[in-house]
Amino acid sequence: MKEYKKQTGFSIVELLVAIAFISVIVVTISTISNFNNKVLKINEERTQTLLYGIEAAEAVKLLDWDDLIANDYYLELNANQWELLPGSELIDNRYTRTITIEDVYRENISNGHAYDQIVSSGGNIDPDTKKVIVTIDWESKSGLDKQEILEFYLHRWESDRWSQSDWAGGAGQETWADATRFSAKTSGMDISMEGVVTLKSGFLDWNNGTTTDAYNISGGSTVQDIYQVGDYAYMVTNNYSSGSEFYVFDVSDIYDVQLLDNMNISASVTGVKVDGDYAFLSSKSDNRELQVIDISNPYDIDRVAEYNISGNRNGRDVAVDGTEVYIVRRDDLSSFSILDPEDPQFLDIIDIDDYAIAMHLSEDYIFVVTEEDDKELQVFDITNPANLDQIGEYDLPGDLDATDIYVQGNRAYIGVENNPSGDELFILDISDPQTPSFLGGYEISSTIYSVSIIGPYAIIGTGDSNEELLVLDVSFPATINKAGGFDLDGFLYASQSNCSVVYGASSNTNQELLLFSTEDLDCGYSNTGNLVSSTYDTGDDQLVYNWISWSGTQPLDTTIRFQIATSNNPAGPWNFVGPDGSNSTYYDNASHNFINYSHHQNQRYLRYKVFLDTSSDLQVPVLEEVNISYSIYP
Amino acid sequence: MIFNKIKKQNGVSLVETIAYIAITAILLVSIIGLMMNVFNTRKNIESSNSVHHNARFIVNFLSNRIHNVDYINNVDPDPAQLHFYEYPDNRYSLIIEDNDLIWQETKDIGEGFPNQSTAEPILLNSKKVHVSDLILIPISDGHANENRGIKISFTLTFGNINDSFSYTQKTFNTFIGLR
Repeated sequence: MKEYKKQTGFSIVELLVAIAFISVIVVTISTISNFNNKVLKINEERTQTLLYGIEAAEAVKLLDWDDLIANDYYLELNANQWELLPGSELIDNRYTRTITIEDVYRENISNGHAYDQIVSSGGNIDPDTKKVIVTIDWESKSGLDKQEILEFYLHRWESDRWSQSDWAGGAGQETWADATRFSAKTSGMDISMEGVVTLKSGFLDWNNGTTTDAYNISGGSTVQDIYQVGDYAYMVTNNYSSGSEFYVFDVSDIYDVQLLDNMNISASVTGVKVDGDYAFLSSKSDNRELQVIDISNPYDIDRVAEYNISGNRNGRDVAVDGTEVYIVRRDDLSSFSILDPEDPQFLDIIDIDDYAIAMHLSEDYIFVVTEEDDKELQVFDITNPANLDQIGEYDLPGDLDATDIYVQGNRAYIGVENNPSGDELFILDISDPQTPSFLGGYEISSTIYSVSIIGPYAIIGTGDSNEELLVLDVSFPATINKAGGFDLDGFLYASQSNCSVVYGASSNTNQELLLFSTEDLDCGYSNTGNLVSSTYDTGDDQLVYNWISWSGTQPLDTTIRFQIATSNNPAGPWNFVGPDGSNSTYYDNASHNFINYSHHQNQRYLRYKVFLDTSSDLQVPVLEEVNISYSIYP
Repeated sequence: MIFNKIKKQNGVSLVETIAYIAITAILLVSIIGLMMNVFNTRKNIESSNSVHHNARFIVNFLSNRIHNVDYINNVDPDPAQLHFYEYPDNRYSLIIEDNDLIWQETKDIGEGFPNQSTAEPILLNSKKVHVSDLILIPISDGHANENRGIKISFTLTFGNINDSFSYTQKTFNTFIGLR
């Protein structure tokens, strides 16, 4: 048998394995080392490209906007100023830097201003935004081709703003200097209050209210009604057995009232209205309920006609509407043609249920208030005076006796006798006369004798012996505020108000005619007006106007609108235009309007014109601040 | 039959010894080579990273400050080259002192500019990195308004020039505009 000796040396296989193993380790380590070196090189180069990228980005921001036209460029420093030249440049013999400028398109456009999201295709070109791409290509020392891209948008975001928030300084300033002034306005604009411009709303300071004059008619009976027009006031009384019931006063001087003439009607007269040269009276006379007086010569008045409505009921009130006159009796309403006022022609009669007290004519309707508990207000359509038609009624809460009514615009103001359980003044919405609706009420805790309206104020003759004259601000019927209360020497059985003067028919037998006034001369209301600003200098003729916005209050049925005029001549001409560049459109969105881009571009001088309008009763728009934003091109 | 009896051998043959030494030598050389390579790479990376990190920091720092500057005053040949003014009362300048890049922040304390008695120097480079050749060139904007940006150039050096593995020297150029 052969014996094999035990061998203790390396076999060739073991040796090979060891060498292979070591080789793998060596190769691996070498590869890692090599890779590290490449990464190191790339990182070094990236730091360099970062700085070159920053350089290009910062330099582009200093360039004139007009030089940023879509193309590929490189930068050159020329006389300490960066310049863009078409093409690319090689930096450090390694880095190729290209600056690409691209136009930007946005989703929406309004008046030439592109806005909203940037879109990659389609859309509207936005001249105020550019896309800049800095591309740096290089062949790395590591042997690889590398590229770094820096992308950003340049936006002409810098803007200035012209604001005006006070106009109290008045008109006449052509060039903007005093921030409280402007160029011109129409008479309807009210700038008297600091910080706002609004339409004249007939604001009166009732703290200044005072009795300016009174007239004592010798003898006479209880006053019933009064009507004022122009320089004259006409007053009627109950039957005075030994004298007159109809009086004509000259009230042109509210501090010195003169009685011009008077007439014995021989009956209690309940109502008076004047139209042209004639006064129309409603009387309690059974055989001449309607009487017509020629007042063309107020010093010598003359009765010219009378009419006996069949039935012996007292005339309660009279209304005139140019060619017709209406008489309301306790339970009917009659109409007459007064094409010839000296020969009134009976047209129609309609029943009223029941006991009518007073009426007010407004446009195509007559509003009658009654003592009927379930329909204190009744509405008649007088579109065809020969065919009177009752179209609506309203039941005030509880069993009330109405005393007077005044209608203005879309509102009816109704006074009632003392209501122990609630309001005595009711304001109804009569925009739909068929179905009047309640707007607001006010509790006086005494009877209301008379109601009349001056602008936003209700003039109330009350039965409160400490406050016979009450003035309420009825601008907002839901929240009626007391504007004034006055202790007179008698009750106002009737009143007529005009401008800042109340013409009262008083129960005081020593001052039957009473004039009360806040002594304001200017009490005009206006439903339209405009104001032109001073000329504002933006300081540069390379600019674009961005937007206009304003703040203020704009109640229902009122508008605040703007137009803008620009020029490169500080003296104009000023051609005011709206968003489409024509003078028939207006900027009317208070929060934000884009100003027409191309029409006003590069026009250094600016004016705005604000238009205020109202079609609402007693409500006016109020402008508090206007802002116009513009960007001067960098 | 005759059996040749071979005596049992316990020693190492010469051939085996030579083979061992040869292999060991090869291994040692390879390993030492690798080790050296790794050490050098490490030094290289440290050096390069220091320089580039410093460059990035300096540019970032200067961008942040200079963007907020209101205007620049050219005071050449003063070593500060430029004075940066920021309203209402700050003044900055950038100088090199002992191979260090120093950002000086000064407040006007009533002594008026360019008094720098309240300067609070901020060192912008790390210890082992030397800064040299700082050049600041004020640049006008597209409307020829002067000094609306500065072109900056500086050189950073790390290590000894004789030690090629740890030595890095780079010059950096960039531009920073005023906002």
